[in-house]
Amino acid sequence: MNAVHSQAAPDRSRARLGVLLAFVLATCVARESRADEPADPQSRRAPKADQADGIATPQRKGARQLIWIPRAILYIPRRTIELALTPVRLAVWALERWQLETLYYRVFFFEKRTFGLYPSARLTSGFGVSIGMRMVHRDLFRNRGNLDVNGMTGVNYGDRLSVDFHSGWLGRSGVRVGGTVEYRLVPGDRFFGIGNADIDSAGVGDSIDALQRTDAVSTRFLHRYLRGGPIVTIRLAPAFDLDLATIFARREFGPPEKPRGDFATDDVFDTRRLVGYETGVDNVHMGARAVVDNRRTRGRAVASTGWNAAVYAGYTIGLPGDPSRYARAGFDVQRFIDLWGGTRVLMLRAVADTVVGPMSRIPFVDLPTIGGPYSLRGHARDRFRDRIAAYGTAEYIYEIDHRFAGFLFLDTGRVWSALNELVLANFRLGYGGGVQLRSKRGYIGRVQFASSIEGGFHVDLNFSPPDILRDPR
Amino acid sequence: MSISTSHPRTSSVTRGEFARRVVVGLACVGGCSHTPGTLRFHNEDPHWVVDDRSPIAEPIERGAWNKLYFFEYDVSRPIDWTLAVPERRPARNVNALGEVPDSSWFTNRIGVRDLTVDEMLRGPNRTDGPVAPMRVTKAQADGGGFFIEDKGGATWILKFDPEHDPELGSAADVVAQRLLWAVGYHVPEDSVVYFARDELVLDPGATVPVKGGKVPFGEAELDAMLAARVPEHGRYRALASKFLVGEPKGPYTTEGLRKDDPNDRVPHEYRRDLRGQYVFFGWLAHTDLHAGNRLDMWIEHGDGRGHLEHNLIDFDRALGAMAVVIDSPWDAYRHRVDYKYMLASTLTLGLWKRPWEGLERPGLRGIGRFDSRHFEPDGYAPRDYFMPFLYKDRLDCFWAAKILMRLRPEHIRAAVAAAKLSDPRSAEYLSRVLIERQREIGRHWLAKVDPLDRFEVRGPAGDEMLCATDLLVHHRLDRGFAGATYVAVAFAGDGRRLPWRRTVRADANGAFCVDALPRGSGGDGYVIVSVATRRGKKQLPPVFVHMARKRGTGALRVIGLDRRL
Repeated sequence: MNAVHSQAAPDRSRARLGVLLAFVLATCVARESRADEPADPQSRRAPKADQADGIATPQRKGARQLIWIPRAILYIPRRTIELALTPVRLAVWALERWQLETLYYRVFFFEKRTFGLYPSARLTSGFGVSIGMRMVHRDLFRNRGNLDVNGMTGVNYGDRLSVDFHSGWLGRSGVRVGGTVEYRLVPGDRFFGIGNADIDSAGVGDSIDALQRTDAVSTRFLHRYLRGGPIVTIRLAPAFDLDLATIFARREFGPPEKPRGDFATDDVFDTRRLVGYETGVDNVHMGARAVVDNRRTRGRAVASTGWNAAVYAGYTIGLPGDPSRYARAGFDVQRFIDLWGGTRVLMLRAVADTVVGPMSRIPFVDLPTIGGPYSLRGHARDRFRDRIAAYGTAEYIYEIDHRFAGFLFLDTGRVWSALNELVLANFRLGYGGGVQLRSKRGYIGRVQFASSIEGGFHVDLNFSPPDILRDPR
Repeated sequence: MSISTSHPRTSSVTRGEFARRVVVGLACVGGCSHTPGTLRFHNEDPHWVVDDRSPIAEPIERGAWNKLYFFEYDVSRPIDWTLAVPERRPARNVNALGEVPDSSWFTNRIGVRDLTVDEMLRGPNRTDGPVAPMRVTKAQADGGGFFIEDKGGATWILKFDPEHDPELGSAADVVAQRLLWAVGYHVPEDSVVYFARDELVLDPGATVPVKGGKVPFGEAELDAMLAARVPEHGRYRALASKFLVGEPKGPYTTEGLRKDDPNDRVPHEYRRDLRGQYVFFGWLAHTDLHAGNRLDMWIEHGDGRGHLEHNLIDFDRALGAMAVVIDSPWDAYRHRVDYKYMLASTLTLGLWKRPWEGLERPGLRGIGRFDSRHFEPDGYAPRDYFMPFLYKDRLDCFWAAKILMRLRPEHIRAAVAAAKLSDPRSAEYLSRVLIERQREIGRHWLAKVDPLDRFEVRGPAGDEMLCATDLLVHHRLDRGFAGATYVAVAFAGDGRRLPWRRTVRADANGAFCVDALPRGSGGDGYVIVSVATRRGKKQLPPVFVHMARKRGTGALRVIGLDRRL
């Protein structure tokens, strides 16, 4: 019995071993089968999207771990920019979440958007920041007439309220009637004297006779004025208009409210020699102005080719008690030259302004001036004034993208006391550049940096919608 | 690699062999391009379908948030992405051959099979357009069209061409729609249709959106909209786009995943089908990629569960139409806010020739600012930054170019014919330009990586040969080269170099084979063949072809491709 058992035991062990081996073998085969495709492709399950690459062993990565170095260096700038953009992002989100743009137009605009209200702002060297609102109606009298009411205020800029309007072209007559009214209080308007002299404060303390044209000192005075009158425009030909205007002006002067480091005009200059300073000005100007404007846009630049030229002449007489009596004439010619593809433009401008009459009949504020953000840039506003003023500009405008354009300029000019003293020497030079933002309609705003040989640095940041190639004053 | 530390004379590896292995190993640490490295594939056939249509709970509808989208992807995100120095990683939704499997995002068509001209002419459309009478239910705010329900109850949007540019938008849309369908994307059924005024019936409740609400849209308004269009023989031309099947759930994002879609497992910036759109959209000058033109549709299976299908819509600003409609000659060349261009213009004071300068309309009816002379395959830019394009690599563009090159001229002409351009010169011009641009793309992207493809094993067991096609030669794009040679070496599955090497030339169609493949290692005969193309003096990084024997049949076949950059 024991022999039978002992013989049966090895047989059973072998059998168990065989079963075990068979089981192991079957398991291995089955496991390999799950890793590979099943014999029947139709029962094959599609993998998930991120598991279809069939990779069993990935490629070992190389030494790409150094990427943390530039990441570390750029981490702070990245987070700073993110932080700076967060309020903008929130504003955009709010704009879209509550449809603020729709709300704005519903409150401030008629359905056809012909009437609107805009905020405006300006920063000008010497006059600081000014802010305001602008109301525009582009379909006055339902004749595409225009009404433009603009109010601005600033600590140093002062207050300004202006109303400009026109009727639109009256039928096929080619005639448009309108007018302008402007009230302005400038707490510290600028006066540097008369003539082309360099600034020199050494002799301050004496009453300088500005008519000697030997001294220039930076001074300020209070200037309050109200001016306005009717304007009739006659379209003589396409792109050729004639403006006829009669403008009344009442002006008052006095010590500046906030000298801001400059002298007061009446502390430096003999104001009795400045016609109108002590008595005020009360005069009316009648003039005509012929304008040719055939500027065309080829690219997305505002103007690529063409002319924008104006010639004007007029006469000013004083109301009773006012000595004003002089003629005025001048021109302002701009030529746009398309250098390349409509997106690189050279603008050349020549301006001349002259008054004819005895100095005793010409209020000092009516003398032609140059200097400021639009004429002879790089110099303070109204830096030079005299009977004859002229300046020229060469400005290169180039497209940065379809909204922004950069510009570089050179301005040169000077003033003279009389025609027989017209010498082509001692010209003033200003230079600078900036960036302007535009839409399909034209300028939205610009920032301009300017300087001159005389020194100083002038910044002008302007978000008023009008065409600012011309001096708006 | 093991090295005995006993007496050198008794080490199992000679000094020379050791030195060789050290050199190779060091080279491979940095991603050596001449050895297969550690990458191995499962011994299975590559997958051509993925499972991303599993039933899920219904996701919420996402808003388009256009203004926020523009801010993020025009202003903020490009800056942030640059400063983040992201690591460029290869696409993750590809199979072992680097191809994109069929999914709810993409369906392989021309890439894997031929399409007939009739298929191209019809595209995805099951009908020829809406069937009259068409009931107008809503008008578009901009007066550009209206929504209708046709006789069969299907909802369509009818869109008119720009008032002074007949056929421009409708032609562009249909051509782009046909071509994008052919390459594999999911698009709506778009057709050019002509209809008469009396085929329109106004729904009494029809409205038109205005600022702050909507107002009734009546007969007078409908007539005014039609009056701005010039009918041809009493019939108005429009683009008819059928509403996609399912329920709209908003746009898919350009980055990350859709959190309420468990099927969405690959971050979108790592999807090859999205990255590859750079090539297709550049070809078609399709730049309007804002959120509203990418649409997820909810396909219900039942019991409130279903899946999302991902679609492209609105192509009526492709083919240079956008550049005309919004007067932007730079369209398709730079982004709406393009820091690179702004910086270049600022620093150079504008004194550099932009790539779009000189591009003019050909003066043909229905054709926008679109030509081949000013086309740069790598110079395309959509209006808004599209994040997958920032992550793309040459392999993504190679994949797309391969598919694009399979479209033959007759396919392209059929797509153009579907646009029903009235002037045959316009159709001829458009077809010619598309073909020329296609070849520029092929010439550019197929040369950026080793252009070998269509790998397959042929021959009897034991005497197999590996065959491939040089796509540059196959598509006749290898101008200027004397003729390429292809050098193949083999490695076993464990990485050992095998004593086998072949140098061959291709035939006139770019096809070649290397014979007598060596036996690999392991029970499945895993073998890797590296094939490098030498064209003139230039040799591109090779393609590593991984092969193994199929379980059961023992047949050797390609199980994976490793393309190097």
